[in-house]
Amino acid sequence: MNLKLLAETLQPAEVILLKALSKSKVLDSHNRMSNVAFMRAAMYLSNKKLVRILKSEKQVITLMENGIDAAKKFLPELILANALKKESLTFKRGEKLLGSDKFRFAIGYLRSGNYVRVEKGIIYLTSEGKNLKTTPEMNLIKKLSKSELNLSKLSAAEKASFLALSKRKRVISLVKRTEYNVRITPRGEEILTNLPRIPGIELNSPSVIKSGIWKSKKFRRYDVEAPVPDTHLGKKQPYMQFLDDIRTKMVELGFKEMNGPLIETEFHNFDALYQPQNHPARTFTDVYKLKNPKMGKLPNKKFVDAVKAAHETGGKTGSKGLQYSWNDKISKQLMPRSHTTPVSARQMMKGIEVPGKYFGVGRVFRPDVLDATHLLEFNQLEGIVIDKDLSFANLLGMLKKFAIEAAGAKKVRFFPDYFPFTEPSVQMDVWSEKLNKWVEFGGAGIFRPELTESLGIKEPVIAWGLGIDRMFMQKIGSRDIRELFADNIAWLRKQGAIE
Amino acid sequence: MPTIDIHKQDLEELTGRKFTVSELAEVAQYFKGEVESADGHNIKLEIKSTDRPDLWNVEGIARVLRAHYSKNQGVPKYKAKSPKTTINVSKKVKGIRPHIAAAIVRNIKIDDFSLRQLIQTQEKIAGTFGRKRREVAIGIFNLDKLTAPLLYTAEKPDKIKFEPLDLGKEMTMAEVLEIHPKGKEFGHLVKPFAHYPIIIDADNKVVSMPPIINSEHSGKVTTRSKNLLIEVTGLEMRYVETALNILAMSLADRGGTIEQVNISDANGTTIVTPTFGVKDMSVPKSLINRTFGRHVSDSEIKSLLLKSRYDINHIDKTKSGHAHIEYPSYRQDIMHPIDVVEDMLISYGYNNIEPIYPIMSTQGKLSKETNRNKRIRELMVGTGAQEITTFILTNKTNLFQKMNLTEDNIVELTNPVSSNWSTLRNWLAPSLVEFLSKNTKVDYPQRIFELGQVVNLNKRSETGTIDEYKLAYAEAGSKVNFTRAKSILQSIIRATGKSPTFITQDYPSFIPGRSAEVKLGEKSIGIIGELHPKVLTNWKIEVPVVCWEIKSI
Repeated sequence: MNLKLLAETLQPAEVILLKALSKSKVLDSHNRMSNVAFMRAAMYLSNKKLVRILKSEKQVITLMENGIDAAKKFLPELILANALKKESLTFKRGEKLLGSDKFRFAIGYLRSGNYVRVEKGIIYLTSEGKNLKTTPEMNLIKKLSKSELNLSKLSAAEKASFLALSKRKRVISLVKRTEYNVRITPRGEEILTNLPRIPGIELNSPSVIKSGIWKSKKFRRYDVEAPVPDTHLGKKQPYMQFLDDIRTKMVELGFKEMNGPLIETEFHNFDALYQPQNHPARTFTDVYKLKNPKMGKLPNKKFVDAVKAAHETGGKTGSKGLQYSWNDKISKQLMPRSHTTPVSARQMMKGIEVPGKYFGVGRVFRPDVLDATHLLEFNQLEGIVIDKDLSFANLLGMLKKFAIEAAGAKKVRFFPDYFPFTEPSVQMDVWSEKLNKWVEFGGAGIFRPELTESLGIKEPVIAWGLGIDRMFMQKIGSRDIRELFADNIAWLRKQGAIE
Repeated sequence: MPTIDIHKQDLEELTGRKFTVSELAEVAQYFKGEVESADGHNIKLEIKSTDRPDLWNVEGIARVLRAHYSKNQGVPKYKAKSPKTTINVSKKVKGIRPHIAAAIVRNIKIDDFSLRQLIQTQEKIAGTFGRKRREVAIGIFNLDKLTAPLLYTAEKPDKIKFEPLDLGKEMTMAEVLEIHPKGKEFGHLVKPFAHYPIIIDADNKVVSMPPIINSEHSGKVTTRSKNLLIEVTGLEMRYVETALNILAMSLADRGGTIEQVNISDANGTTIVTPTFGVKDMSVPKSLINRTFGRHVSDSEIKSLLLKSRYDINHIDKTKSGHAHIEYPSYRQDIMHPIDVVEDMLISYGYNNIEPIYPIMSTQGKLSKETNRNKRIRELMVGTGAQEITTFILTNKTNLFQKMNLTEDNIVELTNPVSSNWSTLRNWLAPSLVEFLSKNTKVDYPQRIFELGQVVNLNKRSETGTIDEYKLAYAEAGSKVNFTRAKSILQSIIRATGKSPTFITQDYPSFIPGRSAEVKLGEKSIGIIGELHPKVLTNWKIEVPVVCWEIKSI
């Protein structure tokens, strides 16, 4: 911008400051402006390269609570001296006057200055004492009560008082301050000769528009190139956004969403899934238990009886069962769900369409210690697919499709695995381009007939439960799983919303 | 999941074939294994089949691999010589630890490999499969130091003295529980009883104190031991026999001769262990075809069954017929024909199966809840607030004390990992305030919201609780004001077609006179207020905060 146009952007405060600077060259304040207004004008001018702001550090002395108190009521030694001017005091009365700590200090101070003498426990003022009106320390406090002082500008006497006061409790403190000195540039000097004769209209407003004043007068130009602060946009949490996207993807693949409670009975979390009651994964090292509330209720008796029979003898499911005595008390115990498969169990008990596809995303809880690779509460993506003749090949096809569509994987591979509630069971790995290695994706299988038939389902049901959190970490290239539940707003503000 | 250490050369000798480590990683799928680490010949394997204790040692793994690389297929065959030795079982063990089974292994050459594997197998079987020795405990003895017959009985804790393994002095059973490391670890299994189980030989010498510790006299097995007695005690015979079979087979695989033992009870009934029996099962061909997703011919069925170490009695010719098979009795994991089919799939190789995406005509749909939540979150983003997501687990200090509230009854964990995460939250606002407390060094104003779940007690509910979504908003900064927060809340509710009323109401978390109850008609749906400086100080927040929380509308 040429100098003439630039001159038309200047606000009144900027002009005042520039004019003052052209006289005194360096300023750190202006008597017609608040400090904030001064700094703001200086910043504007600095952006336009009309001034330079020089930053330096200084140490200043300020009063603390005991100092502020002394400024109002005098230092204890002076209070004591003034009291003694009226009458001599015993120690006891002196203590009563000031409190024992302050009194001990005051008497020490006055004795060492030879302002008092003590005889038989009674304090008398000396002649010097009688003339004592103030002390160098008190003078410094009074000065400080008006404004803070620059340490480097103290006189020698003031410095001695400063050192004496520093040793006293919470009277003064030394604070670092950044000092800004503003200096005019040659360009700044030059622009003063180019100022518009009539200042521009500052504020556009309905009255300006209606009055027509703009026909005869220019608006003050804006420095449109000046930097402005960022706006923190309202944004979805990135992990929540990812879960939204996954849900959308599942719906596109023909899945209906299902939900279930966070607190479950062991019946839904384990028994209905054919996990034996003495299974080690049901103990407190693997899952949370509840202190309050402890017991829930069992569902419809037809399910309870069928599940009990499946565990004990296999019931009508063509299985030998787990061959132990099933206990309904254990089944009623409550726990925060440790996986999302109870949501599938509930859906099957409610009744499902055949053919049908269902999914659920939800929080699950495990007793892990929070670190870069473990959360104590995380999300799982649960899916079940039911149809008349679903095969293991269909399960692999489903998983592969999902890995490619939802996770953007290019290659997958499968391994046999073991889960109490599926047979056959499989573990899928996906090839990660980012990490250049195979990454564990999740477990799946066909629900055991003992499970499905007890819940009234005749057809094979493909099922999987994926730890979806790792999928997200891979996507954003994160190595710390805690970022999913980011508690740092600066990080959240930085995350982009569009890929 | 059991993790076992094996030596590659040991595995190669037992399998009769050499493997590179990467080949081993590939074939590990046949026994649901994964190579966790390999340091020269020392290999650490993770075995995912927690239901197959017969695969938790190198001999078991070799048994699987031999079927893939040799004609050694079908049910593994083991011979056992007729019994010459007897263990008498006293009535006294009934109700304490009723079952015992035993085997004798003669002419076994014990080297470093086999000794280490034997100890590892014993530990894994008793520890994991035996539920830390509760269900199954195993003792292995130098047979040449024992005099038959043995007696399995139970005695008073301070009656008999013996020298337990590795301690160098005699003591009573009660003292073993006090002093011996194994006594301290497993003593709780016998402590509730007036009598402790004990095995004594014909010379009245103590052999073992199951499930705690062997005697020093006969319970020390070294590379010089030639003839062994294996004894397994437990609560259920099917687990006891399974454990015995696994150990006996492992030693037979290493050249030992197995000899049976008579187990005689007080009524004069005698059983013989171990028996390498088989059980039969009929697997519907339709189940095989359906699970494979194609027609599997009889000859393929046969070859896959043999590879999976099943024997075949016969296969019905008809489509609706069965494959009639036999499997070893220690396979406790086989409950249903589908278990056999999975083994066939594994032998076929999962990665040889062509994945087929099932073509089904179904209609996808988001739940009502998700749809509503999504819309509300979008409205909130529209107000310029940053969405956050936090943990449902928290603690009472955060929910009550720090919020200046008296403690209430809420959902609490029995076994929290840390007291910081010991309850489930019953309201959402503390999660937002905690978030703000972690961001006091970041520039203000900060405006955040969360739509998240809270859990409250409810006696009538099936799960004793009701969880619901709540929407909470907070703004922090030197210039935040009640008016704007209220205006946002009002507008969000109005955007859903409803109209809130605000009723003056003081709450301990908020500055008196600066909070309100939010209502829809007669129904209370939430609260709004400016946080009390006491609350802010508790959280070390130095700027004013206005927040509100409502039921998801």
